[in-house]
Parts: sequence; C-alpha cells; structure tokens
Amino acid sequence: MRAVAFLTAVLLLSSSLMAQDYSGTSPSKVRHGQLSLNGYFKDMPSLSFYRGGEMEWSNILQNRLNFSYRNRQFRLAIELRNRMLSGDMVTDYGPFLEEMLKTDNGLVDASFVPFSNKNVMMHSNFDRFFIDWRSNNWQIRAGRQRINWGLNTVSNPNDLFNTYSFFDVDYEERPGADAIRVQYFTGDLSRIELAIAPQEKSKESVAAVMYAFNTSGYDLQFIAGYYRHKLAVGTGWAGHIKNSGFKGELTVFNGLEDQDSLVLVGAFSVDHLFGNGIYGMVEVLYNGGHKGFDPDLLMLMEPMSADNIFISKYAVTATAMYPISPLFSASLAGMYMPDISGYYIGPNLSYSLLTNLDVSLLAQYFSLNDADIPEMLAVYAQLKWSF
Amino acid sequence: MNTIQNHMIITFGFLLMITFSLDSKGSTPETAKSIIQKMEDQMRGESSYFELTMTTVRPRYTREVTMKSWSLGDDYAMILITAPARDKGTAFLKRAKEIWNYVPSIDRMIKMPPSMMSQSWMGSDFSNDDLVRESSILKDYDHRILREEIFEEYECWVLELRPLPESSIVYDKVTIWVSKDFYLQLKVENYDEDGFLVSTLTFSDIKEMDGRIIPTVMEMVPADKPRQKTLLKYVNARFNIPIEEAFFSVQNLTNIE
Repeated sequence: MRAVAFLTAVLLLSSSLMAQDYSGTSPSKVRHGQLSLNGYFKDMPSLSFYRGGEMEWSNILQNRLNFSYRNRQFRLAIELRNRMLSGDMVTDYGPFLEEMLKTDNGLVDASFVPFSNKNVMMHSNFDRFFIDWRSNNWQIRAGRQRINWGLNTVSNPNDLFNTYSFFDVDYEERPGADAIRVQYFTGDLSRIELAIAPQEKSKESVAAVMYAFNTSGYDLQFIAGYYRHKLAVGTGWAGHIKNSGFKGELTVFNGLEDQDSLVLVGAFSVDHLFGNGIYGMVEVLYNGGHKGFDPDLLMLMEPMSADNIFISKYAVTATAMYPISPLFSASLAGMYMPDISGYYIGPNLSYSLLTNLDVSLLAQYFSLNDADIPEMLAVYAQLKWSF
Repeated sequence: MNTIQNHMIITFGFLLMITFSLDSKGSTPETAKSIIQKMEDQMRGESSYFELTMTTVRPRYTREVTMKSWSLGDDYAMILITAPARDKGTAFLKRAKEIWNYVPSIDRMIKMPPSMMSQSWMGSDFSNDDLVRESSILKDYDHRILREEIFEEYECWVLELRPLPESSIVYDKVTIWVSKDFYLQLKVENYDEDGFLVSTLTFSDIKEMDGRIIPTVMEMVPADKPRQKTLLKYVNARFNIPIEEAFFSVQNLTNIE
C-alpha cells in the first residue's frame, strides 16, 4: 500500500509540475512534453549442473516497461520489471524464493509476488520511479533511481548507493536506490552531487557527497559520507596510460562506534581495444571488508554491500569481447579468487536475429572449493525482443 | 558484454561523424590542394547538426542505426542514438581526445579508452584509416590533378593523393573525383601498396540542405566483397548553428534528447 501511496504522490506532483509548465503560455507556444514507452520481452531458460550429476532447470520470462514523460525541464520515469519464474528453482525453493522476491531493500516497498504456486511464480518490481527537475546548472532527482558513482566495469567500491552482482545475468539494468539526489554542475565536466538514501532503520541509511572533475585527460572524483553507520571516504579516476584506459576506485570505511574497524576496498582496471577488434579488460580487486565465504547459489546473484562487495577478499577479472560480424559477437569473462581458491568462467555468444530481436547463449562455471557447492555449471539461452 | 558491443557499433558511427566535422582553412585558385580545401569546406561549417542513418548491408541482412549529432570545430561532438530500440538513448560525447559514453539503462557514464578512438569497428566496411585519414587529407598527402572528366553527369577533377612518407596512412594511393561546380566529393578509391583497389566510396543523392548543396548519401564498398557495403544517409543537416562549448557537457550527455 505504501508503494501505491508513493506512486500516487509522484503522479500528483508530476501532474502539477506539468500544469505549471503549460501555464502562462499561449496555446500556440505550448511546448509539448514527450510521452514514451519502451522496454522488452525476454525469455531465459537455463540448466544448472552440479558435481555428482544433479541437474536443475528453470525459466524466466521477463517483461520490462519503461514509461517516461519529459519536457525541457522535467522528467517523470516509472519502470516496471515483471518476471514469470518457473522450474526447479520455484519447485525446490518456493517459499524461500517468494520471501526473497517479496523483500524490497528500499525505503518504499515496490516488490510484489502477485501470483505463485508450486510450479510458477510471478514477480513484479517497480525498480525505477522518480521525478527529475533540471534548471541551468541544477538537477534534482527524487525517487527510486540508479546513482552510479562507479567507474570500473566490474567492481565499484565508489558505488555507495546501489551495489550490484556481477553474476546476475538476468538483471542488466541493475538495482536502484530510493533517494534524493542533487547535482550542481560547476563546469562542463565537473559537478557536485549530494545524495541521501534514507532507510527505515536509520543506521542503514546512506548519505554522501561527491565532487567530480576532469583534468589532464583524467576524470577524478572524491566522495565522503555516511554509509550504514560507517564513515566512508573515497576517490576514483578514469583516464589512460598511452592508448589504454586506466580506471580505479578506492573507498575507506570506518565504523562510527567501533573506531578500529577500518576497511579498505579498492579496484583498478585497464582496458584496450586492439587493432584486430578485440576489446580486453583486466581488473584487480581488493575487498578489505571480506567476512568469510558462505556460498549460496541464490545469494551469488544478489548484490552485496559497498564495504564488502564481493564473495572473496581478492579477485582478478579478465574479459575479452570480439565482434565476429556486425550481428554476431563473442565474449569471455574469467575470474580468479586466490584467497578462496575459486574461479569463474563466463562465455557469451550473442546474435542479432532481426533488428530488435537478439538471441544469446551464455554459461557460468563456478569452482568455489566449497563443501556445499564445489562446482557448478549453468547454461542460459536468452531471446529478447526490444521495443 | 552486450553493452561493449553496442559501444563499438556506436563508436564507429561516432568516429564517422568526427570525420565529417574536420575543419580546414585558407584558399588559393585551383591547385590540387585548393580543390581539396574547398571540397572540405563545402561538407561542413564551423558547427553542424545532422540527423542520419547508418545502414550495414550484407547479402542476407541489413541493419540500421539512426542518430542525431552536434559538432563544433574539431574538438567537440555529441551523438545520440535514436534507433533501434535496444540502443535508443545511448549517447556519446567527444571533447578533444577524450570520449565518454552514456548508457541510459544503468544511468551511467563510461570513459572510453583512447584506443577506441583510433580503431574502427570490425564489422563495418570502413578501415581505421578511412576514419582518421580525413583529419589530415590536406597535410598528410601530396596532391596532384590527374585529369578532368565527366563522372555521373558532373564535370570533375580527378585528383591523386599520395601519402607523405612520415604519415601513417596504410593506403599507397587515393584517387578522388571532385565536381567542378560545388566542389563536391563524388568518389574515392583507395589503393594498397601493390596497386590493388581496396575500397570505393561513392557520394550521391546531391541535395540542398540548410542552404548548401551536399551529397547526402555515402556508400562504402570493399573491393574484395562487392556484395556488402555500409551506407550513410543524411536525413537532415544544419550548418553554422549557434552552439557553444558548454553544450558539450556531462550534464547534456546524460540528458540529451
């Protein structure tokens, strides 16, 4: 109900803003706003194989709807993610899965399971709903949004507001945060951002400022704030060494009560597009907040937190992508986690069948050196129609 | 990884735009160099706005990308993808040697590695050199008038361009057909060091856009694959638009429409 109330409030507020926009202008000069709807339908069947011969299958049928209204200064966005889950995932973990899907980690509860039985579960989630106002150098956005402070491709220690899981192949948009965000653009390439993401339990709230600017070919940023009852201070950069991209993010967390709990999370990466068309990226992560490893297949796909962003303390990731033709591309991601003697391999083949119809085949192989899940191979097929 | 693939496809279009927004100044009566100069001037203004489509044609399929682009001088450019649906809203910003890409689905700006700038996209029919060459079409070549002839009903100069030894141009020889009336580039042939034709660029559908006569369709065909080509078509163009450096900002990149 709170979600409904919140959405109603957003809609009311937006309609009054729209009214303002039209007021005082003669009909011939009215600047019409733009309404748009886009999204996709996607089906993703998968098979998972475990050591010992156990096998599971599942299917996720997904529909995404992005509604947007915008005019010169104002924008309203409502984005809905609907998924129909079926297979062993639902049959075997039904109640647990339902509980997990129903839980909305944001301030507003906008995650629902409208329908479920022992074979099929429907999950609906408003994962973006915000109003955005822009005037001269100011931009203010309130509601559920993605606040992307990360600069690296895989690991983002600077991403205080909406951490994501690299292994979640189903969620390309990545989660958002319920927040108010004020941006003041101090120059063409510089800005100050203030963002506040309150939580019901105030100690889980996040509030931070960022100053970002560009100098000598580098994007630089400094962040400071309150992160779930810790003090967080960090920096990030995106520049280049010769012709290769060079990016990095460092954040230090310290408990406000437990002063000795200093934690450093840092990652840096290098990427390059080679003359033969291969794009390559290597990233090294140090996750100082690592608290032991408790593998759980469902949790592997869940985002962790900025001060403990990954399942291991160290990780080296390498990815390569090769466009075989304008329609067909292949990529490979590999990851090594030395402290838990784990590794991950993720190949991906994508093919464009028609202009808006894409098919892809991907796999995830985990070797986690763990008693419960020593090894797992999951193979996914994906058919996606964008509109 | 799809995002990366899209970057490449789009970056390709972006580089193409940069190619078309390169500036040159000065003029003297009809020497080979002055013809090239005027040809360059005709195709651009100090600033420009284009709406265009890029079509990749293969024997069994075609794919189309629609874009809007803004440019100012050599250093500033912005591109917004308007179709297909999958890539709609993706935008690129170029300032001097830096490129940023905005991905709307994750509301994120990505700084591109410089190598992205100097390479082109695998699947296209343009080589790296086709894209970067134009920046130095005046400075990096020896130019001479080969002959005059009628090409596609236009009286043309046929010019031969040979790269200067210190340039890094891969072609050994480039032949260009330029119309005498409006200094329009009508055809380009690229040859390798063995004298073989590598690719042919033809310009057609000559029209007035925003008061200028320009070829509005550009077609690149690789010599060894005559059944495939890449087409670039201008749908709308405006030259010398009132636009400032401040337009090419991070704020605009993330909000452009």
